[in-house]
Amino acid sequence: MPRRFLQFVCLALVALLNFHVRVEAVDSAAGLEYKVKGAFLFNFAKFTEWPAGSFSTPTSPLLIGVFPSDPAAPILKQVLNAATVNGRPLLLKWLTPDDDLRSCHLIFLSRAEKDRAASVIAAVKDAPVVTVGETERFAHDGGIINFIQRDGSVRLEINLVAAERVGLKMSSKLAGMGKLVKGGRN
Amino acid sequence: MNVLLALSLVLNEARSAEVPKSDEAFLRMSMDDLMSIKLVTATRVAADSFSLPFMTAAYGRQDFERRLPRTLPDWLDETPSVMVQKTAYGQASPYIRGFTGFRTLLLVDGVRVNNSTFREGPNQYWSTIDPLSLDRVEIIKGPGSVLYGSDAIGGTVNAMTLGGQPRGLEDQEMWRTFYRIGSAGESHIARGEFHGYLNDRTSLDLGVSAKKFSDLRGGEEVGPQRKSGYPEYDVDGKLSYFVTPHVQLVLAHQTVLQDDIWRTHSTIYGSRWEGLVPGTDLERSADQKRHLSYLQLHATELDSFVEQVHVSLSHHFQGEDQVRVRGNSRRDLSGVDVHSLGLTVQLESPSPLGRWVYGTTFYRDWVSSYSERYLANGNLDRVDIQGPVADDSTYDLVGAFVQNQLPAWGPLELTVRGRYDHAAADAGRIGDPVSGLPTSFSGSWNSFVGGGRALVHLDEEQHWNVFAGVGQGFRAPNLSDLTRFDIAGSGQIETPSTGVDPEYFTTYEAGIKTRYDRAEFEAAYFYTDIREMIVRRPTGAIVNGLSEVTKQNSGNGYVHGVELQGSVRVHPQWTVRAGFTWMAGEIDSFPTSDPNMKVREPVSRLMPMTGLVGLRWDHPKKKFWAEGVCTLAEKQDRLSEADRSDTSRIPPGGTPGYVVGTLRAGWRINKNASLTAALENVANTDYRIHGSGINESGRNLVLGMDVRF
Repeated sequence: MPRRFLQFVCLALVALLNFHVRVEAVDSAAGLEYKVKGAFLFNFAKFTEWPAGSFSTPTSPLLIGVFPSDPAAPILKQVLNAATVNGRPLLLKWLTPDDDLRSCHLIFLSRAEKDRAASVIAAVKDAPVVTVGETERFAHDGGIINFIQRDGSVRLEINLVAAERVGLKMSSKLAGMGKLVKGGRN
Repeated sequence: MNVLLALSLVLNEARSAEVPKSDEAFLRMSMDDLMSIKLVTATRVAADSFSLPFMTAAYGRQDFERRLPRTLPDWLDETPSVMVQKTAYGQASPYIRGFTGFRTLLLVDGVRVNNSTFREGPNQYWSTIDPLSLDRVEIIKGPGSVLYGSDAIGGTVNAMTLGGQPRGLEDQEMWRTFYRIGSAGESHIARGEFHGYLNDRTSLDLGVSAKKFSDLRGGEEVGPQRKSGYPEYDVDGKLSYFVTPHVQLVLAHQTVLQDDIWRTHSTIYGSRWEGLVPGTDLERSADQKRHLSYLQLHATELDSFVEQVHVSLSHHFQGEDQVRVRGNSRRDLSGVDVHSLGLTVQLESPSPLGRWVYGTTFYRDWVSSYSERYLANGNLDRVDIQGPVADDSTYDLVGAFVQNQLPAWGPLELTVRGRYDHAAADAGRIGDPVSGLPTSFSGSWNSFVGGGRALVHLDEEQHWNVFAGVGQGFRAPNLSDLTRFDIAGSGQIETPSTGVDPEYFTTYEAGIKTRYDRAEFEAAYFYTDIREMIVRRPTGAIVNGLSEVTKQNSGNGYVHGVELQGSVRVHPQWTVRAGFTWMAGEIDSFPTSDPNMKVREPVSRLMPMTGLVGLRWDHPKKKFWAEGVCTLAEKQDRLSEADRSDTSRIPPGGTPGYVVGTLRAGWRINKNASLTAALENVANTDYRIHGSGINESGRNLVLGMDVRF
């Protein structure tokens, strides 16, 4: 191996040891996708206005429903833990089949829970609940927001008509971030 | 040593992640930033590149808009372990981990561009992909033969085309125009696109590109490089129909036409830069055409033990016509037409024992070729039995593969793969270089290859991953190995060699990846063991006035190297990135016609030690961005005998090193328009990529405008 290459390796190692980066939190390789999507959920909560009466007090928590069997659940909990939106704490609610899903403000269904999609959408079809999925046609079938992948990155499909029908107001910033679709509960 | 010092000093500042990824930082990110996070789909299973047990790179439209590459190979040139050699301005051939030509594999939407006429050394075919028609390019470095079949040795590139999107409420017709102008070669690239929907289930995408490249101007000393310009025309279209939300049918076509691309180095117009010796031909030029059509079925989220089905039926035509006018005014015309029929089926099944990916591939080539020789007075001298490869030939490549991504075992993730291939050649008309009579040849070969890779999460927080793997690559002898009767390198002619067998390569690789909120870094070491590679050997005979070389399975050797890449966001608006490549390799070669005289020498056209550092600024609202990039390459003086004798491409003593700086900036004017400007090679340096037949551009002002309406 050439001497100059060894010199380079030494210099590169020194360089590596010298750089200082403030470590802020954990990153999960397998969970990157759901950390990104967790942050999107945070933004959905931030840029959506629920109709009057959706919260009992100005500081009532904003409930995000997730089925505990969903492999995304622990990652979402990790990302959204202790977060607040517009003065309201975000609380992850572990859903059971017997729960009244309309008590949630937002429900997330990952690919692993795709079999529940139709029943969840039907259960909240008249309630101001932001249903978020990640399977094809989720928003066309009546879900409010769907995650899709384009160009290797996360993109959004938004069923704005369905949202407005149940009194949800999405800011133009949020509506402008996604592709508008229609269907389902329109 | 100056290069090393400069690189190390900059590396001291340079480890970064494109986007922050710690939990709190995620919540601070804008939705724009969240959408900029890239996932890699190299395995067709969406995955975070950080968790893949190999080195990859992926480039999308955003990267294209920032860099405005002129060709597909140019798009790859900032990738560690990739050296984009250019025999001519329109003939670029990436060396990936030391290999190029038929030892790298190019796919377009999963369809092989490689066919059985691809030759040893650099070729021109990668330049026949219109980058403006692409949505995304992925590079998988190292052997991919188990998944992709023959030729995937140095690396595999999958170029994915635009279009085929499902319809949304706001999706109506959309037109797009793009124009790029470059000053160093007075290059003009214009494209028009249409994206529309015939109904709720059917999308239609059409694109037309027209390109005109005048003679490329080199650096301060070299100036204009005569006879290097050429025109190109491209058409592409895609009709996509969603049978159900999860079942998509895609019918696509693309055409590329290139005219009159000169291999200037072998003519009297070649450069004398740094002691280069131009060739003696009065003309060496080629026309290139390519037509790809395919019908694909993609079914996902199926409720059965087979979760995904991908089927592709393709027809690919690639044709080339070459003109050579010798110093004595004799004129040679030759050409090859290849029709390739391809059928691939890939299935995916989750199971308690892991995720299985399995399938089969079939490709058949129909090849015709010609060669006509004319006297200086224009009269026909003779019509040869064959062109560059055997005339009236077929070549079959049939394979079956299986991969299992085993369930994670604690911090350990394992992937194992296996593949069987059968290749068969039926060469109808071969010119016997000794008797001058026509002959024919039939042969077949079988190959089994396998591999396994492991990834271990070193810490619970998964900031650090290490990976290791061993993989086999193989290449069955193709019609070029068996029957090529054409110019090889500089001043040699390759004659048919029907006695060769498949060549095998085993690559051992280990690497580490780390990623924190604002920084990421990847490093890998690879060692490729080369066994019985098909190499050229002089016969001592003179054929058509050139030294004859034949081929045999006797190239044993290795290539190994180190690649590093990383970036750090030093400030919310500032990102520093860097890449580095070092590699070396040796192989047995036969410098004379004596078969017993074997020497161990450097692998031909090995990438020199190369580094890249860049600093980018992004406006907080993404309206503007600016970037400075500096590329450094060391002099490449580790030369093979073939390199030393390639005096029209490689200067005596080796290709000089260089330091080249580029500035880029962009303005997103509004949602539908963006403007990019770049000043390439700011110092107007004379330089060439090792092994190239043409120098890179001198100072080059590039402007690109993208408007959608």
